[in-house]
Amino acid sequence: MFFQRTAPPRADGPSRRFWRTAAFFGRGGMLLEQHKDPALSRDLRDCTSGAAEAMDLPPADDPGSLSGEEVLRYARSAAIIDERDGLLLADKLKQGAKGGVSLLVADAVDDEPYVSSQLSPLFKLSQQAVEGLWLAARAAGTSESIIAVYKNLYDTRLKIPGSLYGVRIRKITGKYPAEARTLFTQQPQSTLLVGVCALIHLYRAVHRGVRQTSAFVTVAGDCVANPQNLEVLCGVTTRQVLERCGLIEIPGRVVLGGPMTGRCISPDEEVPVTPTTRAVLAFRSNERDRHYQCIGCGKCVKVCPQGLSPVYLYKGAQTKNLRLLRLCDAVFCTGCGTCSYVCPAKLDLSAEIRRAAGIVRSLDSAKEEVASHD
Amino acid sequence: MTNAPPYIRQKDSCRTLTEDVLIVLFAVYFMAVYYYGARAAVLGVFSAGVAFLCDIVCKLLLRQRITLREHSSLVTALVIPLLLPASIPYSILAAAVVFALVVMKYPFGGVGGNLFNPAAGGFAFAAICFPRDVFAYPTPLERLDIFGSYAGRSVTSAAYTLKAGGIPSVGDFVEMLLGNVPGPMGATNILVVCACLLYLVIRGTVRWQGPVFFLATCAGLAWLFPRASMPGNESVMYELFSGILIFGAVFMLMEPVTSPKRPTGTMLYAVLTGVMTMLFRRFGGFEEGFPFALLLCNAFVPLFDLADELLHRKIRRARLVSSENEKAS
Repeated sequence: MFFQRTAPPRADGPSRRFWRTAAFFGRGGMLLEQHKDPALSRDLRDCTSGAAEAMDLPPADDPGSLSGEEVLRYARSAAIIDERDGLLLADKLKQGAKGGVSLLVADAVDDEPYVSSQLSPLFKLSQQAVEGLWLAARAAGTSESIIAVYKNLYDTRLKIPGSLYGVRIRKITGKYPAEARTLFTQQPQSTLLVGVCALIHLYRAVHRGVRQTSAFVTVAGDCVANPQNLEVLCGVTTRQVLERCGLIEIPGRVVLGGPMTGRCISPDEEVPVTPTTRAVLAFRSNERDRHYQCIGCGKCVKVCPQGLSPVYLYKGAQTKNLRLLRLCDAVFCTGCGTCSYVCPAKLDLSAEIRRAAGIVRSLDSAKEEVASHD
Repeated sequence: MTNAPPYIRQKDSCRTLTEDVLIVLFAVYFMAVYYYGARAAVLGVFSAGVAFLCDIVCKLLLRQRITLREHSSLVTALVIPLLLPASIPYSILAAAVVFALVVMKYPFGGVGGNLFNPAAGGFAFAAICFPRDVFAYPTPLERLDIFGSYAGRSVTSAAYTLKAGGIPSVGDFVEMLLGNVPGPMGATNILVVCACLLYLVIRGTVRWQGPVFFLATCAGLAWLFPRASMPGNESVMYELFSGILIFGAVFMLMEPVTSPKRPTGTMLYAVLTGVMTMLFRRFGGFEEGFPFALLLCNAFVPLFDLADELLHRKIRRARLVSSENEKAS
């Protein structure tokens, strides 16, 4: 679901701030080293070589006077896909308009290390992003819109302003995973989150009459010579993207998406870039990461944003103890990977728990099915 | 190399966790060498050697991989001499270390499996079997023979005087802080041990809730029920600064394997250990009750953890249900 309960940005009474602070301290998560800098402070490079595909609607003469319906028509005709969740932007905006959205949020949170493929277009193409946001707000039938940016950007040279062309930038309080933790909770007001890249494509569709044919991708990692944000055509393979930025050495693994939740492919594999590909990262294989035995230090428990105990869930997954998995609520795991990141024994907590949670879920649904047959 | 996310990891490992403790233990050994001469350091090295042999034998018996990257036995071996007087015979020290590793640690599966704190077990074994050697201390700043048995006059510690119902006359507050009083080799240096605690808490190796709640409980009980007729604040000072209370709170109480996993459980555990320690001190047979109380409370840690899980399950459910309701409304 992309609907979330939200806090209105300005109604920040002292008591609300208290509870938000309490939740901030109580709900785990952790500060990660961001490694965004070389890519984020460099220019956004356009590798599309001007290729554009015209769509069946002509560019709007007066974009300012378009109605919401017309903007939706542009979004659908340009086949814009939101890079956050892979849904059609037109569908999201339409559902939002139907559900009575009161706040539209341009999501440039990028809370995973290395990834800056939303932040970079936001600041390098800010005019397009903001005008896209206005258009989208009209389509969703709301007048309020803000931009959400991750707060934990201490190691970049980029200074984040308070507003962009009059649109307020809200800094999301800083631990990973931002989405699961603080974003917009506990207020009777619904928010629609839309990715910044999708908004830029919406602007281009309305002003230039072109379809979405490109994606914004961060290329980084310790094997990449020139970490950079690129705008590449969809369908270009990962290897081509990596070669554009130069490889220092043969990577041990290539990751599609963020380093915390992305998908690992082998360096020889050629996978095309899609609109939802946010990063291509090339890492050395760190074979020296050894595995130790769990010593029960409890660090994973401290950082879990869902308040679970990965140490017991892992034990349950290893011993196939269904009762323990149920008691510790394995199905609440969101797979953010924070527990594996912090584990001093270098265990694969997150992956094991996800697998076990899948088993618990399928067993539960099987049981329900049997019950419904009776 | 695994192919499961996340693909980046924190640099800290189990090895750095134990190395943090080793670093601060060296500071404590430095003070011990200052007060008792080279014998303190030799005791530590000897203890480490015995632990190394025990490690190899036990790992061979258990068919575990022998590795030099894992130092938890070394921590146990370096903590035990610091709980004992500097005049302790080498044979008793060896017996304590062997008991700690061969009986308290490896039968439970080795690293990460032990139910009870090995160092506390080793000390308890030595204290029960050889109380005359374990509770007789040399005077600080007296040079001891590096090898051979102690020939000088042994004295008793402040903890013994308290046990006997008297008021210790070991010097003033500053002397007690600096550790210039007879007592266990490493545990008397209160200032140094507190600095160690600060380092470990800042590094995140020790959760602050444990030592703080433990010491607060002990201090509160000492203030309410002084063992001799003295004002409450004096009683607090003598109880905390005598014996191995603060040293144990830093190096033994929060050993990761045998302490609860969540802050809530840690607080309960620390308070219970504090109460048990003060009860052992008042009604037990020995002047030092902390290791025995710790062993007893270690047995309850799985229960604390279970209770914690049930509590957090409730909290999770409450959060989920409320947000679902909001969505529905």
